[in-house]
Order: sequence, then structure tokens, then C-alpha cells
Amino acid sequence: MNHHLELPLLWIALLAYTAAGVLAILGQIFGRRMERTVLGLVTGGLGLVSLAIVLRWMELGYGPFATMYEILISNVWSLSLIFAVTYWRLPPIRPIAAVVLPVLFVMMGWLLVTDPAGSGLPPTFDTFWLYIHIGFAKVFLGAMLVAVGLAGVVLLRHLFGGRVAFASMPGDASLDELAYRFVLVGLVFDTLMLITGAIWAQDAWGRYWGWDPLETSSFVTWVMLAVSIHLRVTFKLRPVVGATLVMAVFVVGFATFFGIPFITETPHQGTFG
Amino acid sequence: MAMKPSLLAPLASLKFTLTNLLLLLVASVAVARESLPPTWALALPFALLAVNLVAAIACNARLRGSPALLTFHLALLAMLLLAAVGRLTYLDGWVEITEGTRFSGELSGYDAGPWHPWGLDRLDLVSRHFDLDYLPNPGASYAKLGEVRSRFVWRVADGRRFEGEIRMNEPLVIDHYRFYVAPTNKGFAPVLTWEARVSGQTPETTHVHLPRLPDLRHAQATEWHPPGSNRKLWIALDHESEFLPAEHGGDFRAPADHHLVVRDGGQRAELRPGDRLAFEDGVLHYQGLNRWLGYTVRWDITTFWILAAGVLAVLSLAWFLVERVMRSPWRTAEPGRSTSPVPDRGAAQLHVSAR
Repeated sequence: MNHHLELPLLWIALLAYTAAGVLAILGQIFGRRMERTVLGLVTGGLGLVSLAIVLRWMELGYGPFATMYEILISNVWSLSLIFAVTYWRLPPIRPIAAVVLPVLFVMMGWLLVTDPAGSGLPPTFDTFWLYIHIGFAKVFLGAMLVAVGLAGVVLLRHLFGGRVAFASMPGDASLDELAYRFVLVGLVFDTLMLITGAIWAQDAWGRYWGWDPLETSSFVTWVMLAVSIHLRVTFKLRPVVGATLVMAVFVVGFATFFGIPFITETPHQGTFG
Repeated sequence: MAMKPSLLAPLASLKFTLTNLLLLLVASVAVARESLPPTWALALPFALLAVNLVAAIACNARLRGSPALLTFHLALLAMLLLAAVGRLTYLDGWVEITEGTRFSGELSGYDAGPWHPWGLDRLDLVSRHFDLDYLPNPGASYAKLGEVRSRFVWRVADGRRFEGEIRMNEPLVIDHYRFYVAPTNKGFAPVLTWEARVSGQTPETTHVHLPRLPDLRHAQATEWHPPGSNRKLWIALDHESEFLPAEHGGDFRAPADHHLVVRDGGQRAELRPGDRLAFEDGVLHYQGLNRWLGYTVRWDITTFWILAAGVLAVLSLAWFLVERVMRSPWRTAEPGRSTSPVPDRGAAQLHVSAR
């Protein structure tokens, strides 16, 4: 495949995300938030990633659903979109860009060192459940990324002099409450992802659950979400503890999305057999 | 006699929920690492969670007072009970069926719940024909699997006849039994007729399944006992053609130029389709080479209802979330933070977006 247009677009998008992240961090440190510039850079980067996906889709004839490169590019797109909408609609929490954007530009960097070759789609991917299942998964991870931004601010306020840098944001209790709401949104979409995945698995492989590495890791993520919510309700946790839990759930969720397929080489074991 | 709430209280507590969720976490990891069989590993945490849910619904007035939370927890309870019924009645089986033959109802192997209502022998199911198309796969050992189609005919109790096709991810569903193709499990089946030298005994035709292809393509041999005979024959397929060459692809079919090697002790014979081989106790007639294909057979009537309960759980959870967002803003008055340089617009906007 010829990637002569797609890869340069992604390199420019990486520059845009990196610039946005650096500006967001410097803005917090020096107290000069350039929110319009940050939003413009993120939106521009998102546009370039969208264009790269469209070009690739037209050239290969299928969407970014199979290889590690495709999983990364589609998630960079969805996470950027969810973050950009949140950034636009919730001005009081815009400083979370200093936490979220480094995650995005590290993912972009990872994407650009991954093999972009297409592998084709297996016959089991020829179903509309693909779009529904993956769509729910992306909303789940997007909600968790915003929760991580909020939790990151709470944690940074207790470390590295973050209390001064993030003084303009609402207090820890408010950020913790909002993070918890995004975690609840995450739980709803994670549950939907598991249900639609089970329906798809029933169609494709004749069993709705098979404990393959990705299924197990997804279930562990769901249980972690449930545990973190129940811990918060049961013990009335301090914001810093709640924030640590959000981080832990995100790490497990992130590993499910990007670690397990990386280890097993395919989204689900046997998918390409 | 009703139990006193004080007895149920510990079972209804959130701490008990947490303990059970952590137990479920450990059991899930154990299952994934294949340290424990799934049914038994998950039975305890799921049973404890069900007890916890029942107790919580009985004892927790706040939970009963919120229709959204109550629906969510009832839906979770329904899912747990349905999963238990599913494990008691499920069937996961596999079978090899020769093209053009009737499925006897006997599986090659299976896992089943103790209460599975066996009914496979009632299915009057006949394999008509199957196609396995292979695509070129340069650089690999053999071609890449493309389309799979397997046609069957069957009759139902009132005598009506149906015809249907199984494709790669499209099962054939008869009486809640779901038949899937397992295209990595397929092979050749020499058709052998044994004519015993015993008066009154009719010739009997058998399809002998050779080892599966493509992974056992260099070991196409098996042992076979002619029906009613103590004789043990060693049968091997010998052919010159390459199995589905990676450069060309093609469809999976019996090689036209082949012969069957038959060994009986120290004696060896080569048979082509139509050849006969005489023994002291009978005559072996090689009719030709057929093909067999592997299928998996599943039965679980709870799947749809688990799905329905799951959807209800998600909807009620979303309902709870929307109620919470509507009821109280996320920004709270905080001691020591009397002023804020950022206008409190976030809560209002979250309300708007939730509506």
C-alpha cells in the first residue's frame, strides 16, 4: 500500500497535538492559558487524523479495525473528538488539557512507529455489530480519558506544586464528583460494549463468551469499574484516593485496548485463523 | 417465616458486594489462566453476588426508593439467574459430517450442562454439499481461507422439508441447536464397502475420516476395522497434487489423481476408485474419495434473555446517571474556596447537554 499522503498528515497532526499539549502545560505553569489556540490545534489535528483515516479507508476498502496501527489511529481520532467536545463545552475544566494531551500525543507517536500495512478484514468482521461494538468501546475510553484528566489534576495538586498551577479550577471535591460521573458514563458504555461484543461473538463464533485474552481483560476492566464505584460509595473516599482509583481503572482499560491486541497480535484470539 | 432484617443486613452490605466483586476478579483471572474450569470458578462469586443482590433489594430502602437503581439491580439479578440456568442446560459440541450423509445425532465430543434436554437425534439433518474457497496467500504454506458454504436439508416433525446454508458466521438454527462450520477442521473420507463372506450379511459402506487438513496434510493415514471383522487395516491416501498451493488458491476438493494404500499386516495394496481387494473373510470395495467438514453445535436458550436483561440493566443505569446529573450540579460549595476565578458555567452546561 502507498502511504504517501496518510503518513505526512499524521506527522503534522502529531506536531499539532504536541504543540497543543506544550501550550496547555506552559499555560498552567505560567498562568497564561491560551485556550483558543489549544482548541484550534486539537481540532486541526483531529481534522488531519480524520483525513488520514478517510484516505486509508478509500485505498484499502475497509475501516481501521484490525491491526495495531488501525486500532491506534481510530482511537486517537475518537479520543481527540471526545476530548475536543468536552474542552469546548466545559470551560471550567479546560486545564485538564495539560494531563490529557500528553496521553494523546504519546499515542500519536506510538502510532507513527507502528507498521501501517493493512492486513485485510476476516469474514467475521462483515457485520454491523463491528461498528456498534467498537463505537461503544470508544465512548467508554473517551469518558475514562476525561475522568483521567480530572483525576490527574486532583493528584497533581498533591504533587509537584500542582495546587498553584491548577488553582483556577474547581475544588478537588467537585472534580472528583465530575470524574465519578464520567466513570459512570464509562460504565454504561463499557457494559454496552461487552453486551454487543457478546452478541457479535455469538454470531461469529457460536459462543457469546469464550474467555479469550481480550474478553477476559475487558471483563476485568468492567469489574474494576464496578469495584471503584462501590468503593467510592461504601467508604466515602477522599478525592485523592478516588482519583487514584480512576487512574488504576484507566490503566487496565488502556492495557485492554492497546496491550492485549499488541501481545496477541489480533483483536480477538482466532479472529484471523 | 420472614427473616429479620438484622440477619440480612451483613449480606446486603456494600462491603459484601466489594468482597464478592474482588472474588469475581480473582476467579476471572484464574479462568483466563486456565487454572480453573469457568463454570466452577465463577459459580461461587456469582452465587454470592446473587445473595448480596437479593439481600440488598430486601433491606436497602434507598435502593428500593430509586426506580432506576432498583431496576438496575433486578436486571443484574436476572442476568445471574439466567447465567446459572444457561450453565445447567448448555451444550457445546463438535462433529465431523461427510458430504452427502445424514447426521446421526451423535457428536464427536461435547461439554454439556447436567440438565441439557438432548434432542439432536430427533433432527433429520442431511449434508448436501459444501464449498470452501481459498484465496492466494503468497509466502505462506498454503492458500488463505475465503468463503465457506455448507448446504443442508432437514425435515420437521410434521414432515415438511427445509433447505438451508451455513456460512462463515451464519449458523443453521434448528430447534435452538446452532450449527457452525469449523473450516479449519476438514478432510478427506475414503468411501469403503465391506462385503463379508458370510451368507445373509449385506455389504456395509463406511466413510473413513482421514486426519484433518491442512495441518495434518503430511499424515493422511488411519486405522480401520471392517464392520463385523476382527481385521485391522491401515489406510493411507497417496496423491501427487499439492494441497491448496499458496500462489493459486482454489477450492477444497478431492484430488482427481490419487490412490489408496491399504496395509494388512505385512501385505500392501494400492486401490483406485472402483478397485476391489479380496481377503479371507470379505472383499473391500473402494468406491471413491469423499470429503468431511467439521461443525460446532451449540445450544443455550438463555442467551437472548441474558441480552435483554443486560440491555435493561444498562438503560436503568443510564436513567440513574441522568437523574443524578439533573438532581445536583457537580460543582459543590467547598470550605476554603470562597472565590473562584472561573465562572461556574460547567454545571449548567452539563445540565443542558444531559437534557
